[in-house]
Amino acid sequence: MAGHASWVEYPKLTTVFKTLMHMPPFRNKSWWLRIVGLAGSLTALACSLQTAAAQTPSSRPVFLLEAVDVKGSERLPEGFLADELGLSPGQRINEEDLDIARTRLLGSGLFQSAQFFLSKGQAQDRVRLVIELEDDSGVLGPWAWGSSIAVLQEQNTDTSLRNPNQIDPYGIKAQIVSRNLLRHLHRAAVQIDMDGKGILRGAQFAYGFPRFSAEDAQFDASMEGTDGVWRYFEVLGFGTKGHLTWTLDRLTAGSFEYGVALFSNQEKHMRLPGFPDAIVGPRVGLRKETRLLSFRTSSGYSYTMAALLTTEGLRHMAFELGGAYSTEPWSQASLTLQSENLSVGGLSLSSRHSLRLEQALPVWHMASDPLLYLQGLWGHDTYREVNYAGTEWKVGLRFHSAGFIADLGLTYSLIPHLLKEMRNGEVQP
Amino acid sequence: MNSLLVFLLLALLPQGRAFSQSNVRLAWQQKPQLALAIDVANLLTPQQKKLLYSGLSALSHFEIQSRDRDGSTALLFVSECTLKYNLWEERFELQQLTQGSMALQAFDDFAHLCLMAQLSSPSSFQRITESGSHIEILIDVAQVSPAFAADVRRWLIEQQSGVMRGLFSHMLGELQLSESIKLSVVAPPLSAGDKR
Repeated sequence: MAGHASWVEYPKLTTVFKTLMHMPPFRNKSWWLRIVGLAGSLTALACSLQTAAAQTPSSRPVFLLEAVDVKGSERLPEGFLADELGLSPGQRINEEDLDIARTRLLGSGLFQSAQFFLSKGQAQDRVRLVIELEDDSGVLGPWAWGSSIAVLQEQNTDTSLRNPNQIDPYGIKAQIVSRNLLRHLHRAAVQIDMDGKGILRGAQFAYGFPRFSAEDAQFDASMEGTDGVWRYFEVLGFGTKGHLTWTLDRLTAGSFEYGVALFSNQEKHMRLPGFPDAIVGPRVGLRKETRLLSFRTSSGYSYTMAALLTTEGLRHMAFELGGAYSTEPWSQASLTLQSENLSVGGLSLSSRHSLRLEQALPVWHMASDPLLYLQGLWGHDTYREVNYAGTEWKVGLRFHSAGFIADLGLTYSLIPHLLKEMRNGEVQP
Repeated sequence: MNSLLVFLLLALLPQGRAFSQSNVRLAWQQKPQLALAIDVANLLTPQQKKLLYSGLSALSHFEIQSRDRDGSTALLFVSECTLKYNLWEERFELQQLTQGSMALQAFDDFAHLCLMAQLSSPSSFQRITESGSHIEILIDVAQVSPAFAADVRRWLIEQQSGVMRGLFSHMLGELQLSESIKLSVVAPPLSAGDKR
């Protein structure tokens, strides 16, 4: 359709760079001269493009907004919408502005549809705008709540060795999330993991600033701590991790992340043996996700790569590399292979791999969409001459209703011998 | 009789938006050549018409498919138009892929150009002339293109990582970016009366 807004598809940076390097101004020059020349050229190009954009009037008709009326939803206050969308009475707009506003509304993930209607104002070229929104029924409440609770019974070699008849009571992992906190698009999530004895084994808090769509950088902050001795398969290298991350989504290769990260093993329980006490520094990374991580995972892939940079050299930098691939092996089933790796310099490596099969059950489809899952996890850690590894099998039933997911599962773990000794107090972390 | 107007009560498929009762007009025409004319202008819902009169660009998509007894479908006709209603001049500006841009004085002119099909290719209606056929009709009216919808979807999928990881998209429904009607009708075979 004529005039719809879309995100710009950028060419690959490497291709552009190589092409530029072979152009006459840069050819046969030393690398530093080439880079300085290229930076200068790009700056001049950006300035000229910006100037040209500012000077070129839009070919589309411009209207003066006389009134704006938003109907159909209470999820975002009218004043907030007017500010964020730039649609206030008295402003001059064209159809392109409305396309951008529509992109922002639909990109919030709160609405199923957003339709715009103009009507004649009191004078020529004055218009009244009506925005009709339809709430997404899959989103719970005006604050877009979601939650999950997992009830897991764990059996592992540690307890079974002491008493073959002993089975730990159920542990609980609960998460609650809001994507429209205070009805201003603030995002937040809290998660706790409590074992059957009522001891907290993990917690996470995350917050994201409001953001409408792809043109802005997204800011997220998160802090998480996990007991590496009791939750070995959920810890990658460090028991405590904090992130302050900005994300740019305008690259074709994926999303570019930059910010600050803290990886720590200081706390007695929130640590994994053999890894450094703490690493703090700027973190840069690239990630891409093509799967719809709905209640049932759609086919596709994801990857992530990141580096936590320090001034103490390569041996103290942390590198992360991960990927996942999901496919539908047969009807109503999903098979996901996932791998996550974290290394600190060349000294240590923490790896977690998993294979998960989900099969939807053809009963109560409309009621709760239940599915059975079977998951195998493998973990391996190495630090200098120390190596330890473990395996875990998990089987369970998941179902959901509106914004709530329930998970009933049974896990059987073969944890590393070192961690068994630490659980029994025979070895200090 | 050159043509026979057949008014059929339509079967509403689940994908369609709610509306009470509608008609589609099918007519066999002999001149200038044998053709099955299908007029769906009366099928438009009030919301679809509202989008066409919104003062902003709207895309109409009209599609006809035949469905065989074994369930296989064959595309018979597609028409796509981009329309914009000029609020002050009170007329439509039509941008059609095949015929270019033109100004239309009335809604009926748009309906004639974009919501009417004439199936004149023998391969299209041979089966219909002999024994009748099930015909499926789709009318979409949207303010955004499928490419725009795909962009938004991709953006939402990318948002699943980070803070909202794992709990974002189970709260995410399907975007409804067009007003859509999908109908199934039975086209009668060509009778002796139509052939005269």
